[in-house]
Amino acid sequence: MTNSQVGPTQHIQHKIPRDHTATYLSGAEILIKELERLGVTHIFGYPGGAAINIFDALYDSSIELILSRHEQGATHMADGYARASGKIGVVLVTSGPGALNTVTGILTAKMDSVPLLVISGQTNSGNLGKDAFQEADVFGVTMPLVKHSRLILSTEDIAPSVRRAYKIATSLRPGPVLLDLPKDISAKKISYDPGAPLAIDAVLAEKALSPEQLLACRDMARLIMNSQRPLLLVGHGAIISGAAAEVTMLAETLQCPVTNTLLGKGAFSEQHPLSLGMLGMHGNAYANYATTRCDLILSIGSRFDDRINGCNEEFCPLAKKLHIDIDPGEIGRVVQPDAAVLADAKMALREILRHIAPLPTAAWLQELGEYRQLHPLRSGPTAGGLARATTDPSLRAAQVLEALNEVLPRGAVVTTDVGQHQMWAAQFILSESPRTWLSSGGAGTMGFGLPAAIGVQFARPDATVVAVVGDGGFQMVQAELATAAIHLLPIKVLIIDNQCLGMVRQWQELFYNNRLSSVLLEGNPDFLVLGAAYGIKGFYIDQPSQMADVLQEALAYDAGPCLIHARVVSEDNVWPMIPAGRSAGDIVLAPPTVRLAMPTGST
Amino acid sequence: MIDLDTKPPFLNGTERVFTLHLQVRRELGIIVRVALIFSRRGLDIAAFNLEESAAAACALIKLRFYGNAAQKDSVCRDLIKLVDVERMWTGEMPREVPQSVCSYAKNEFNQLVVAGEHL
Repeated sequence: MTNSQVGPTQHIQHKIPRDHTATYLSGAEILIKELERLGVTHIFGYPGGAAINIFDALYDSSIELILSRHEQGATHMADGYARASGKIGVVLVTSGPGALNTVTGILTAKMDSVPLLVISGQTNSGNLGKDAFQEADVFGVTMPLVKHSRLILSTEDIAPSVRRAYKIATSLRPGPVLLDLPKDISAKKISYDPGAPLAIDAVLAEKALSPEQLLACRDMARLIMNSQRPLLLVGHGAIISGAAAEVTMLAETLQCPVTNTLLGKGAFSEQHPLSLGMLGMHGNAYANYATTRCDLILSIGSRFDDRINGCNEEFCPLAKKLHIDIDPGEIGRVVQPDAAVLADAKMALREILRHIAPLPTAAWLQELGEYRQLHPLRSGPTAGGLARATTDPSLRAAQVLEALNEVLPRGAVVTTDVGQHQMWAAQFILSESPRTWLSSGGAGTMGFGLPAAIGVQFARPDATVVAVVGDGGFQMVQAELATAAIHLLPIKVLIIDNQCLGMVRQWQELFYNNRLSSVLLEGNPDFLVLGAAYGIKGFYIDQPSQMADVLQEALAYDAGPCLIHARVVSEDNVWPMIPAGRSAGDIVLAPPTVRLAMPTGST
Repeated sequence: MIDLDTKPPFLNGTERVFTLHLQVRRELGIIVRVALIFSRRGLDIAAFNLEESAAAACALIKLRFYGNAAQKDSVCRDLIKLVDVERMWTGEMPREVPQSVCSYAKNEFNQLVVAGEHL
């Protein structure tokens, strides 16, 4: 089957305009009108009985509904759409199981501060609490996971609830908001006056710093100017804030090295001479080394989480710790800072830039450069773990991702799943600009990569989008291939197939005496045949010599989605590694010759 | 009722009794949202009281829990982030509650407007 045989005809439907008065609208119609007025152009979802009024209202709307194959897929698509565009992602699902299938996606968005609006249909309000068909208390179930939520109990409350949900989801530290809408409330017709245009820009506009914030910035600048070995740590907050230019200006002005978290990739170009790349559990040796030697670390929109700070007492032992964050809950939550600015990162950096000058960091940069020469990242046959000969022709995952980095066009967007391939991709695919690296950081959600890539392609139709996924995570969401195929989205799905759950296997090998328990993925399908069943073109790699040509051919293919099946060795491990609960000084740079102690950290 | 001035014998070394007062919007689920902040940390709420407020749209919550100072600080930071929590005080609530004595306060969209003792 070819791509020309799938898709387009399935979209052709004859839309019959409905007869309704201009001023009396159903709750569902008001909901859609409000979303239109808020600038929403795409909704990702899956219909059902309790949401059928809303889907009916969409029939006449300018908003395009992207039909997923599972509600979890829809939430990750909306998440990818939001991360790539900076706009809100909107999800529409039905009650009961439909709503509960969004839970993992809501957690993913919450952990990574992604603005998401999840709208769930609900049983009639009179049925609430009666175990009605497809009734589930999604309002209660998601309460710990959302930034806010609301069970709407009157049709009049729909418009203000939607506007408020939008503002809450997108303002300050973004996050998911859930609106649960009973069917009778969405069906009832009321008089609707949309009123004046919504002043949504006011919420998102840059806010001037308060006198207290200005003072805190100046104090912070003073501390920076006393440093001789400074280090900038940029996280996702810097990207959300749109502070990439300010981060670059700060680093270049100070001549200060920069490291980034997993989600901070792209906030500062990893090709920049001052970039140390990613730090943390599987971060670059030289980035982690910098944390052990710096005399000042300035976190810009990073929350010092346990991926970069396994041992709080030993984190940056010589450094004054400075923290810029918009979320008051993050200041002092993990690391008690010596100085903090509670503000938008972009605005804070602009003020700090007014009070700084170049620092004498030549010796510091030379020290880091020398360490980098000693301990570079390695992707070849000796890097992974087994004592393989350097002539081993087997394909290694890290090699594939290093090769992908070399052929990716500028501005390409990469999404990933979670596990070994995610860490290798983070190490070897160098992000140069914000919103080009999308990965589930906090939640660590397998199955994120493919649907997120679909969402990205809707947000940025002209971008090259590559989903780097493992054979495990891909199979959790593979049905979304249909969504990609139907819309002829030219996403490239690179399956790093090591026939196992590699990161768990790595832990079992290193810390559990190689007792491999439930990690071997026997029964994997023939991925290319699977793709072909959806009309998707396939490519195959199992030799290093094939990588560059095949990857280039796949990247050039734009008639629809394609699968690249990279069959790699199973036994490779990700290095470097800081065992969970340990500090950067305990980093393991290469396969150990003695058994490692059991980590004290959880994962 | 436990005497606030006396450390209960069942508390561990650094644990203390903390009292929090919250002014909250009377919105569906607010009690659960507050309770979840404690339960997700494995903290037990020892006493919980909900009262109507002079403001019709608001209610006052008084609660007590046992924990250490770091846990109390962590709890407070998450409580004030709840959209429907408008203001919060630690210790005894003053008879008059002008904005100036609030440990935490914020505007409609969760933005802190008063930097309190913990920030």
